Amino acid sequence: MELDAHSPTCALHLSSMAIRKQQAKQRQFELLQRHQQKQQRRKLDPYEAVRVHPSKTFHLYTGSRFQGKQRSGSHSYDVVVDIKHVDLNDSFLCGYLHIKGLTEEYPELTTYFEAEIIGPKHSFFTRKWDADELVDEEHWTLFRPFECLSSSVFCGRDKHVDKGEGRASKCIYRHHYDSQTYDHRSEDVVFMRWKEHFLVPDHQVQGITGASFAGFYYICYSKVTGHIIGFYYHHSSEKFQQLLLAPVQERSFGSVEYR
Amino acid sequence: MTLTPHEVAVSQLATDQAVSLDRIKSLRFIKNNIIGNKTKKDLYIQLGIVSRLQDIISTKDDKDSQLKIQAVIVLGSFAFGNESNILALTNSGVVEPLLNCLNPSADPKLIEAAARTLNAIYASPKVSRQQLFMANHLHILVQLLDTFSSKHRPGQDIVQVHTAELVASILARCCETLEQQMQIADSGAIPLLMRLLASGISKSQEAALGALAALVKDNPELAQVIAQMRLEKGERPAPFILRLVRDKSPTMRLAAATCLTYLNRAGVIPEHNSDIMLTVLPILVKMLQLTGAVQEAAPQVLAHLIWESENMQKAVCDMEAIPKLASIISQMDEEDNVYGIVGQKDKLKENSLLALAAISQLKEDCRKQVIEAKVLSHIVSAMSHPSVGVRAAACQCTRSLSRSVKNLRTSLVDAGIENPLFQLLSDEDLGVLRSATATLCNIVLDVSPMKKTIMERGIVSKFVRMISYGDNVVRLNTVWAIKNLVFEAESDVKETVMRQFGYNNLVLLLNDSEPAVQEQALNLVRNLAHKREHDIEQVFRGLGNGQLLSIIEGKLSWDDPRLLEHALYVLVNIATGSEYHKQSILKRQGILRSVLRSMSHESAAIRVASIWVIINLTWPDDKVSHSVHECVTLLRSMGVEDRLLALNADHDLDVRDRVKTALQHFLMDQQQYGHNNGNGASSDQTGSGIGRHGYSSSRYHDPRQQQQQENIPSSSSSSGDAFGGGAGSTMDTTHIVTGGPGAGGHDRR
Repeated sequence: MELDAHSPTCALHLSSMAIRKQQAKQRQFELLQRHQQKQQRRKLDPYEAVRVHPSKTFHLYTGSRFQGKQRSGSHSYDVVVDIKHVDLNDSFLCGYLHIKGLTEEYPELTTYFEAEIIGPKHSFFTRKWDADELVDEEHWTLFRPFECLSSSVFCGRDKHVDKGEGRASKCIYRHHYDSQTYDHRSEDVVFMRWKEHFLVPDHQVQGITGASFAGFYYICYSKVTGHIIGFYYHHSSEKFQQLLLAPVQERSFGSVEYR
Repeated sequence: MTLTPHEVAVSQLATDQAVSLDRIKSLRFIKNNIIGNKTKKDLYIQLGIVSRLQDIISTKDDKDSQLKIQAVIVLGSFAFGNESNILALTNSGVVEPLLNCLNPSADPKLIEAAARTLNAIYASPKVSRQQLFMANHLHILVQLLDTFSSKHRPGQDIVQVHTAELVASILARCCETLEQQMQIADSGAIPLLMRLLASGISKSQEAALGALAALVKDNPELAQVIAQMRLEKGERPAPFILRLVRDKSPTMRLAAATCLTYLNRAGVIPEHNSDIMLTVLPILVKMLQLTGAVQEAAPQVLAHLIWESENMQKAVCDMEAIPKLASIISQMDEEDNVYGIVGQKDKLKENSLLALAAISQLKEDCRKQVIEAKVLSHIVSAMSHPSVGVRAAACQCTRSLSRSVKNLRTSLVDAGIENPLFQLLSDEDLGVLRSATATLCNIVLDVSPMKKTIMERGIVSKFVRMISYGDNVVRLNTVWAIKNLVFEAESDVKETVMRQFGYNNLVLLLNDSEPAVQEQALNLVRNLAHKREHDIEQVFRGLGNGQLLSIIEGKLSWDDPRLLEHALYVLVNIATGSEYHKQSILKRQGILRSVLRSMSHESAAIRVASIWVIINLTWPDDKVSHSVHECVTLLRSMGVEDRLLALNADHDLDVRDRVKTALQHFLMDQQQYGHNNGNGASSDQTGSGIGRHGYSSSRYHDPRQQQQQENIPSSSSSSGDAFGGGAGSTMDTTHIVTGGPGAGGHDRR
């Protein structure tokens, strides 16, 4: 089986080949379905809403929830993240981030955030929000799965991780990062930037005493474990405030779709 | 009593009154009087001229074609550019005698004049097209496209060419329904139109493009036929038309772009996708800055072209089409305010709104641009526009824009779309009602602050009326809206909705003639039976004893993968319910067999759904451990475990993950009760068998760690927090940092 061929230290490509194969098969299936629909002899409605089937990948889907903590220095706050919409084709997801006990005025604070999923649309280089390449490198390299990509992304050359010490063997994949072809859909680890935009429920509230969401999170999500790790960055905030989340397992599933 | 010269002229037209020369003179007098003069036209119509003219053109006497020609020309002059006059003509029945004038043996000049007048009459969409498709009329009309026919006398070339152009235009105007398209195609028009297209005469080519476009519009079958034809030099039509898109005349460019747009939407010219992106799109966007008829039609063609294509929407966005469209719409609003000339440019407004709706349909970036173009307030006021087309198009815009959590929470609330939308839900126009109910689906989402207020206005009580409206799209949108409304809703919201809507209506929708409606109805059941045992019980009771599962059993036997997936998820959700709910599923062999079969379905999503059914049915629960064992035994005897083992090597990671969980349930049962279902495996053999089949995952290098991560439900854990990180459990952060290959070892340095 392909899985056996994987290096146990390679966290990026545990099952990429399988995912690619699966995608090809899925696409074929969808094409067939579309073809069958077009067979019916009936005049098409040109302004029929094109469906946006909500994306679902592992723990990322509309209605999924993550629970955990944000650590800031010696403090730790309870955090819940609700995913509200996922559009993998558009490298986009969004949701609510609830944080407890941050300020007295807001014992529970909820913000709306949007994710830029690193892939065909968004690169590892942030180039905004006061984050230059150094800041990017400083943060992305905090994620262990990023090690395989790091030198390729930031130094322009490929380096294969080999920690020696018996535990790790050579990674069989050439972890060359190519911004043209890198696609989160074929990776086991998804890197993102989460940017909070406004407060929920009242989007017009401007300043909050003692808290700010002016910065953004560097995020690393593992499809395999379901865990999300994040680091908050804002040029004037404490560095490396850490977000640690685990998925809340559901076994009942609703269904929702834009029209 | 004295008569005005007009009254005299009309009276002289009477068949028994005068010699034909005088009548021709009178007709010329009338013709010269009415040209471009609306008042005089109205006057003559009041004097009853129409029936006189009709008498003249109805005579069988072919000798005097001059008289007929003049009468037909005068009729055409009345019809030109005035809908109420057109209806005055058609109501007195002029269409039939005009069609009779097309007789091939008649004077070519009479044929041309009749074609011109008919073309002017068919400019009004309110005129019935029925007569054209009766008797032999269509056949005769189509033959007139043949400008190379030898039947005509030499020297009549120009007349013939004009006639052919007029006929092509008539065909384009009489091609609304599928039946009309098919009849015209069956009459042999297509090869003749192809010849006209290749004629090299600009006006003829434009007319041919118009007719071809009308034939292929929203009709993949005819589009396929036309795309596969060959022009005289062996060339396919599409590359030929692509050259015409670059013509110097804007009307030709528009006609060619329109035709290619319809061919493209029908999916029959995929080899030209990039040509269309690179050539047709920019040309259409540039047309937005022209004036008149071309500017008016361009946004509608643009909307049509990009409607389904994310790439094209993005491309048009990059070409700065949004600010252009926004300025067309907002400038129009300013002019309306200053001069009060509402109504003159309705079509341009409607089409521009439609283009905005198309651009912002699929891409969040494009929606953002629309919001930034500050056009939303104009869109919202257009929702109350007197023109139905504008209202429907504005509503399409809000539908596209409301496909965004951010917009639902911010700009759409701020712009106040709720009031006008609620009004439109009672609109009398079907198009408006369709787009309003579609927008409603997004407005009632849990992320929308308008959900609460629109419920307080009594939206639920409107649902019943909306599903019995008798339109498939409105019915589909309604059930879609209810589904979205109850998604993740509290029990009391679900109960309120279903009390007013009625389970009897839900049953009707589950058995609807449209599969799309059934699909949404199943989704609705899925959301109703979601999460809480109490909610599941409500659906069981609401649908009556056993009916719920009978319906699901029926859907599972369908081939439609969409119905199948949602039916399976209804089972997934029911199987999280009480012992009674689970037993109701287990009692139905038909359902279980369908679930087993779905485990081998070609779609990974369906395999995942069917395995979830197994997982939930076999979910360990101390309180009823014996019945869980019975369930496992039953499923094992049906071959579920073997199927699961086979799926261990599935190419889909999600499937494999679910299989692992399901197999753990079987394994736990085996550990507790032993394998005694007649496979003859002793417990020792079973142990080695597990390894061989891959119970212990090869994906994790440390099985113990895996067990810790997934926190496999053990016999001592209660079902509530059986999974790690469950709703009630506090999270162990150390566990996250060190656990698993994806997350481990990233400690701060």
